[in-house]
This record gives sequence, structure tokens and C-alpha cells, in this order.
Amino acid sequence: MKKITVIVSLFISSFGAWGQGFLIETPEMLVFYEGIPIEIQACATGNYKNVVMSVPSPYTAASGSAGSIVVVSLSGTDSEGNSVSLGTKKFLVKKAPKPELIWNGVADGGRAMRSGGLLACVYGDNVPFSPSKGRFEILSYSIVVEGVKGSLEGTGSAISTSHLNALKSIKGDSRVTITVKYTGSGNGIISGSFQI
Amino acid sequence: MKKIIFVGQLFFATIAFCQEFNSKSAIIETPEMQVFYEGIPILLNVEAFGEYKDIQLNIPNPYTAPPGSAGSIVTVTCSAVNKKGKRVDLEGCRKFTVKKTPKPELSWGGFTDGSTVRAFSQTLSVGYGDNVPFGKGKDNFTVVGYVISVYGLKGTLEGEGSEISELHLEALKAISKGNKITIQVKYSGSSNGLITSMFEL
Repeated sequence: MKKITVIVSLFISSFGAWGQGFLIETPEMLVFYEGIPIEIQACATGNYKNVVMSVPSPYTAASGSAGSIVVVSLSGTDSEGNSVSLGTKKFLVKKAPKPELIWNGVADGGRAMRSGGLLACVYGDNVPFSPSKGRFEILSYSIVVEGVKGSLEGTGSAISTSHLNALKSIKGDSRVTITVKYTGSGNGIISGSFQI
Repeated sequence: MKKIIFVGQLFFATIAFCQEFNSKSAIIETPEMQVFYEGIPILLNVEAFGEYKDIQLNIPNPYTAPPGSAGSIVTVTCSAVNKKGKRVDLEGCRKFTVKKTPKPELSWGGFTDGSTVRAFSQTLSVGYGDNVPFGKGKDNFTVVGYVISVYGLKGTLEGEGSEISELHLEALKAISKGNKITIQVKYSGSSNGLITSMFEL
């Protein structure tokens, strides 16, 4: 029964790709990103047993591995019991894309509500993978109000009550720039400018 | 039991088909990365299973998704000339999701967001770092205008184009060391938008 299950699952997994009369690849998109789990699909034809892939799927490239090449190979055992390589593909590891800074749901250049203090670093719909795969934590923030000396410095992703009160006390339209230090799927600094 | 036999037969029939028409024994792919970006030419490599010549796609190669097409699906099909000299449609298709162009990064004379500026450059540029999947040099951005805010100073320095004016640069040089400034630029080209960066002088 186990054998039948293996055969059926191999058939199901292989049918999608092999059912085609051609193969299309976008060589530039053979990329993994640091910290982002990327699903890999692999299938093989022929009478092979113990077919295994050299890396787990989804594969998450380690932090600091940007610039390296990950060789994904598929191997199995043929009918004579020999271990054979069925194919390999090379992937370039890149740094995770930079997220976007959102203040209460408003992106860089937008008009923000000074009543709420929630800052977030998120991916938009311009990353190839699902944006929800980006997990970021804001370590600290720095807020600068146009024409006001000094900056409001705080930690975490919530603007403190005293800083929010300071923002609420500003009369009329002003431009506020927020710079945050973030960590998670990537580390870095990102700024956003908001009208309040 | 009949069903299992049928599935088994189908499986072996598929294997036989593949062995006959294809020398490859494995396919490795990342389905999430099957995307095109608005305005970015993406090269496609095509290989037909079997003896075919003159393989043609239904879209240009490289393919550049038009502006405004983000969210749509591009279905790629293929035709080729078979052994009998007849052009035939190859079985199957590949679907690619069109995404918006990634947001570029602002550089002020080589310094990026959060940097301490060691030399005052006039040049503002917008481009991609090494965190986009496609190769460098495919972006084509123009800085339309800039707005510079100096921490603690009322008003802004506003200008057009990618060169900070001499007057504005002199004003920046007069600001004491350690002060922070923000530069927001409006850009166009591979995509349009605003980008803000903070710099320490």
C-alpha cells in the first residue's frame, strides 16, 4: 500500500509539469531571498526510488548568505540500486527586499492621522512572493516635524503617548518624517514622509 | 482496486511519454517566482519536449509587462515546427502574475537612507539595489524634483530635477555637523512615485 501511495503521489506531483509540451524558465528569477521561505517544486521521470531534493522546501536562505549560489539537486536510486543525479538548478541568494513604512495604514507621501501611533514595516504587492512572508519588527523610531528643532526618539512600533500628544499639538498642516530601524526578514533603516 | 490500477497505468503512460519525448529527467522550479514586473523586460528561456524547430511564444521575448497591468495574469503558450514541417501548438501553458515595479532607493551622491553624509554631492539618483530579482541596469528612473527639510528649520528647499541647486547646496553646507535632513524626491521612469530618505550631516 505504501508503494502505491508513493507511486500515486509521484504521479500527481509530476503530472503538472510533465503534462506540458514545453518548458519555460525566467533565468533571472532563479533567486532566493535571505529570510524568505520559497517553495520549490521538483519532479522526475523514470523508474527511480528514494527521490530526494538536496534542500528542504520551502527553502529559506540564511541571513548573510546574499551573493552565494544555492545548488538544488534532485537525486534518486535507479533500478540497479545506483544513486543517480536527476538534475540540478542554481539559485542566486539576494538580500530581502526593503519593506515600506506604514503609519496607521498610510504609506510614504500620504496624509496620516496623528491620532494613532502604529508604525509597521510591510511588503507591498511588488515582491514576487506573497507579501505576508515578510515579518518585520520595528526596533526604534525617530520623528522629525518640519520647522521644529530636535526629534522625537522612541523604541518599538508604537509611537509613545507623549510623542503623539506632541504631534497633536502642532497647528495646521505640517510635514512629518519618520525614520525607523527594523529587523526580521531583513534589517535596515527606512524613512517615510507624511502630511499631518 | 480498479481505480488504483487505472492510476498506476496512467502514471506509467505519463512516464513513458516523458521518456520518449524528453531527455531531461527532472524539473526544479519555484512557482512563486513566476512573475513579470511592469516596465521591466524579463527574458524567457524556452525548451520544447521532443523534436521541434523554430519555437515561438505568443508574447515577445524578453517580455515587458505594460504599465497598469499589475494583478493580471499573462498566459504564455508556445508553438513550434514538428518533424513533418508543420507548425503546431505545443501542449500546455505557463501563467505569470504581473506585479508592480519594486520601489527603488534614493541615493545622494552614493549615500543611502540613514547614512551619515561625508561629502556634499549635487546628484540625487533613484535606482535598485541588489535586492530585486532581475539583473541590474534594467531600471530607468528620472528624479523629477526634490524637497529637502532640515531638522529644526522652518520651510523646505525645493527644486526640480536630479541636481541639488548650488544655492541649496551652500545652505546645506552651512548646517552644523550632526544635524539631520530629509530628502523626498518625486521620480518617474520604470515606475512613478515618491521616496523619502533621512541623512545625517
